[in-house]
Amino acid sequence: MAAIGLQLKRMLLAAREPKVFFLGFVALVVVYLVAMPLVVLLMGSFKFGPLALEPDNYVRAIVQDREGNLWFGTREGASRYDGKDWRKFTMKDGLADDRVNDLVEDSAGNLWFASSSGVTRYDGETWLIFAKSDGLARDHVTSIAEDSAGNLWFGTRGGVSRYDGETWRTFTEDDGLVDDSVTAIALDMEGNLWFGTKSGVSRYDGETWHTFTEADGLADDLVQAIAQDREGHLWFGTQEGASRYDGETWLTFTTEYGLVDNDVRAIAQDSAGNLWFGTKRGASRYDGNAWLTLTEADGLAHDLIQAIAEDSGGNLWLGTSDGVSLRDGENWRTFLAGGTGAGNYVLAYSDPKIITPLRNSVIFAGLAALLGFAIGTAFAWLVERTNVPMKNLASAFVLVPLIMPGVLFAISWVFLLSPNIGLINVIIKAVFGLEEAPFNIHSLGGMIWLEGLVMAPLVFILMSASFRSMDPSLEEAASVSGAGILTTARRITFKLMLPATISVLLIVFVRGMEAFEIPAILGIPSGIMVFSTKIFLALQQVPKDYGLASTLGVSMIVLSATGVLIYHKLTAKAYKYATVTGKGYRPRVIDLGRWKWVAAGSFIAYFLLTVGLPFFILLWMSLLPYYSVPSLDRFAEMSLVNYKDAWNYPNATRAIRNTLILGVSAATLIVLISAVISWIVVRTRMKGRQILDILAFMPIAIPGIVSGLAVMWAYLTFMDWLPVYGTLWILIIAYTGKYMPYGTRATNAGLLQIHKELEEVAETSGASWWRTFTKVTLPLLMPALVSAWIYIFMVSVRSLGEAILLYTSKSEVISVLIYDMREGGETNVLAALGVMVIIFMVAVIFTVRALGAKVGAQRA
Amino acid sequence: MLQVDKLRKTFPVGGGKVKAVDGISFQVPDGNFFTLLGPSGCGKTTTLRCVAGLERPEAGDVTIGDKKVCCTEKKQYTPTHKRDIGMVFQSYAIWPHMSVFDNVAFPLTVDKMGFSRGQIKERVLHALARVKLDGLANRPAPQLSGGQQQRLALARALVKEPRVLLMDEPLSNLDARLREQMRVELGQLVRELNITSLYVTHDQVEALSMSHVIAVMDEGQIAQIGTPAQIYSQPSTKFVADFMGSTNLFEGKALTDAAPDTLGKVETVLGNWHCTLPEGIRKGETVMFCMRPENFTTYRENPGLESNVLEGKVELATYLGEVYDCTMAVGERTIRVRIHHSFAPKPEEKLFLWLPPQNCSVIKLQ
Repeated sequence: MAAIGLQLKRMLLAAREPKVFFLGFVALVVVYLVAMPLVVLLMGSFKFGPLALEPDNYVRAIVQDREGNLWFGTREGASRYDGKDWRKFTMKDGLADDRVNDLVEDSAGNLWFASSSGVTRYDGETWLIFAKSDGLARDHVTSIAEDSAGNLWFGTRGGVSRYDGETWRTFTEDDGLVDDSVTAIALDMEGNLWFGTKSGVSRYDGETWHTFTEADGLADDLVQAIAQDREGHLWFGTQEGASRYDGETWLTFTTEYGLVDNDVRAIAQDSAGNLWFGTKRGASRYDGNAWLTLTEADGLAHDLIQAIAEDSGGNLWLGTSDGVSLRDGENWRTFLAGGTGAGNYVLAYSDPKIITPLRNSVIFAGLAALLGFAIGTAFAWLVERTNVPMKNLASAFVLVPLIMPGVLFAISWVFLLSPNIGLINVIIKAVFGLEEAPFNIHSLGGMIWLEGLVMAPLVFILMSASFRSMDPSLEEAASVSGAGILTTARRITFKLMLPATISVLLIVFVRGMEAFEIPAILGIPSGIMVFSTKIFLALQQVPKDYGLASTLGVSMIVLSATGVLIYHKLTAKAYKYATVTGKGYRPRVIDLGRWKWVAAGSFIAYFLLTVGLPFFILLWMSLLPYYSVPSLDRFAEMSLVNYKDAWNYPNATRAIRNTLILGVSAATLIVLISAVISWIVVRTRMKGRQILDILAFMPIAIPGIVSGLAVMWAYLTFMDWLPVYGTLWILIIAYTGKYMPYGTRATNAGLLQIHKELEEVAETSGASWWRTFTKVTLPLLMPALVSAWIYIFMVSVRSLGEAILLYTSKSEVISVLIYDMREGGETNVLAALGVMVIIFMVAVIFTVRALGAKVGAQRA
Repeated sequence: MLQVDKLRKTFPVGGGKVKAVDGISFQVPDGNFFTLLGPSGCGKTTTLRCVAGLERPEAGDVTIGDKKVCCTEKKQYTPTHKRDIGMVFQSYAIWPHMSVFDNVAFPLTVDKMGFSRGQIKERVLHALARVKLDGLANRPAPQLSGGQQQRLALARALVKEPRVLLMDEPLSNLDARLREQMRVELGQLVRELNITSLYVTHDQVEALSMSHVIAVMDEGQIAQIGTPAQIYSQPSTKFVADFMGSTNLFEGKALTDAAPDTLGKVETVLGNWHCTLPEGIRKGETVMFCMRPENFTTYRENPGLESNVLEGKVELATYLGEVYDCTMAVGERTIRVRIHHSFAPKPEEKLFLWLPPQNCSVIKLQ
């Protein structure tokens, strides 16, 4: 303890020095920005159920109250779900017993809970318990029903008790009940009460009792459920099948008819008229003709179904012995009890439907990475090692696509390659007289194609660097040793580039895993899901499935982080490979001969595919009142009205302003923080500086949508006292955290190149640390800061993933606005906005470049 | 034999072009050690790379043995890997992904030479032993020290027993002591193997100590070709004299015609000098007169010699251990003189300097 105290005292003393205090503070800011949301997300994924159904998964009764809340009776209390939040009620709240056997809402709006220790009435405020001492036949109550007169009937193990609000009356075998052990009660349309018992069914019309048993045609004397359908038929669930009584004849349905299992525990009719049977081995639906079976294989939480109910929205709820299943269109969603543990993961990964997005993600990211790698590497090789003409222009052609926002890029390609209206499809169909469109962008192939094109610039940048950093004499030595071009390529070049190759592939694979814009625009409409869109949809549906989202998010981080770790290892190894001579390499330029024009053409083709064609189609659409395939007769309809509309579009100017504020603040914050962080990492021997370095690099492995999710959670739960949620601030916070790696990587490299002595000479000249940092270090770092600033500004304007979860109408940004406009079908106005955005981006980047060049010139 | 004829190579720089090699020719007889010596940017490395086939010259021919490997007129170029050469790079170019053994074995495994495994092993181990790297065969190559990498590069270049060995500043990345040691070893090894060598360096000590013939290059052209002794003591241009360390250069006038085996006479501001005149110098011609600082003999008393004696005053004497580096005032001029430490010159001291006629060099001005 004393040692820790001493250490602390030393740290505090050190922190009194302004420099150490400042550095420590910035370091803490980074920890806060990067680590905090991740920790919250990770904790959340273990803690919160996928909309935790509390308290138990064994559901015996479901009822919807008049306010629309759904109530679930379980073995460990009752749960109420208001469509958003879950609340659990137990004995602590006032229930007679946590074991809820049945629950109903009476005509006065009171909820009645049947339990083994009496019944509980809840009027929304107070809890009232009725037990044997109050006049109930027995404390063990199995079922409850209200008759047409408003009396409540309670089925117990010792007869039936009737309560009229004041007095109790019990009916037993002595009164005519077939058996005192009552299992189910139902009221029919004519006002008769039906009691299911262990020895048959009793009907009571208010005066007389009538008994039906196996002898009359009932499938089995032990009745587990009673229900009446619209036609007035009564249905009885037994262990030997379901029996139907139409007032005259009995008919029993068993597995032979199509029932999934004879042990019928629950019966209900939905608003479409289908009868639903909950059995021990799944649910059966009977539409009067055919039977349909649903089991765990179809997505049910469990096969043992004890309760069935339809809510006012027409959604069917099945209470199983392991959670509630909600039918949501064709799919089933499961609600489980909350708690702490790996439940979410088990749930997410035991769902067979998770396999498809997982597979899609891997295929999508893998093939897009390969495609992007092939294009980017080929271009890098052409520029670095061959005599392809006009290298500067060629490089620009590869890098300009970085400016295009992903959403716009994807949307424009829909208009180029969609099967019906896609320009390229239309042209090919016309030229070759095809019936069918040759391409469909709304496919996994289409998504891979676009993502591959988008990734190429990054690959180009990374591979160019690695081509440049490879000492060409390593290849020349092979040549001199007698190896031909192919042998040299195979045994030297390829082997030497292998670590770089793998690491670049990994990085683009990680980028592919996190890609959101293209899968969202192309995949969601056609139902092709990947991880990122799955997370997005989990949070789009009502109720929001935070559990699934966070579980998938953490899984994505694990996947990407593994990739980034391997990348780190490999690049470290690659450094070992680098044999530095300190001399500028002048690699031998390979003469392509006539092929160099083909190579030049490939740059132009790439530029056309990524910028030319998309921009053209956007421009075309922006000038027309509605989309149509380009032709000459359309020119008459051209106008600038879409631009006016785009400018006057609600929120458009605000979105532009927000985007600018966001891009500028995030980029500026990041480069400044990065400069300080790099200074700590490169120049000091501060404890934990390596951890700081890794921490600042980590967000590269965090998919944008997950980072948005993590920040959202952090500021909705742990940090909710800081009112940033719903403002632009939360976006700035999220972006600053997410894009930190781009800053620190640039400043790390930049600072390593600035000789330490340049700073030391300032200090020996009498400058304080702060003055040295601001007057010497920062100005020298300026070129690195400017290029990092431009890159971060570009990605923060382009990206959609983070913003889409964090924006509100007040803090909407351009990418989200475009996405929403597209959802709203306003494509022509969208196109006009897109054209303006692209022009604007180009202008901003050129301005900053020009300013940066000025700064650089001053330095030189 | 290695022969280079009228080689020319230009590089595009900015908008224009730079003549890296401007029509140079030389011959290296079999078993000779030929050095291209010059400051950086003089075109020596480019010449070597043209010989290797790593650069393609615009004009000129290269012949290795009896095979013309580069004939620009006929546009016939033998690719590098088909030229019978070995090469040591300045960066060593040791493949970091291979072991020491694999690095050396590489040239034997690529050319379908038909060596069996055993033969390869034998040759590689022999080559490694020759450069004193035996025992390190299984090391990963990047683990070697700088000097070891240098030897490895040499072993790799020699293992195929090429007709010509090309070396591009192989010692420039070593520290001073190691460089000296390697210089001696390299010289010995090359002499033992009697291999035709083309060596590129900017270091005159390396060039003088190892070469049979040195070509001093300046701006893409050969300034002077000759034996080390010729280059050192009879520089034929001002550039060579300057580059080889002659700091005391004075313009003078020949007082006699050049004649074989006879001393001539030159008049300078420092007086008249008896010296050997290079061929072709006529009486009355303006020449450049060089005095190497280390060639003076120093006296405290006037030695009473007829000519080639200067009287000067020590202005500055810097102790360098073995010698004093002195700046001396002679009349209006200053000259640099190196004086043995045992002589211990003192500032302001008056000394007599004698420069024997055989140690004077006279450069014919172009």
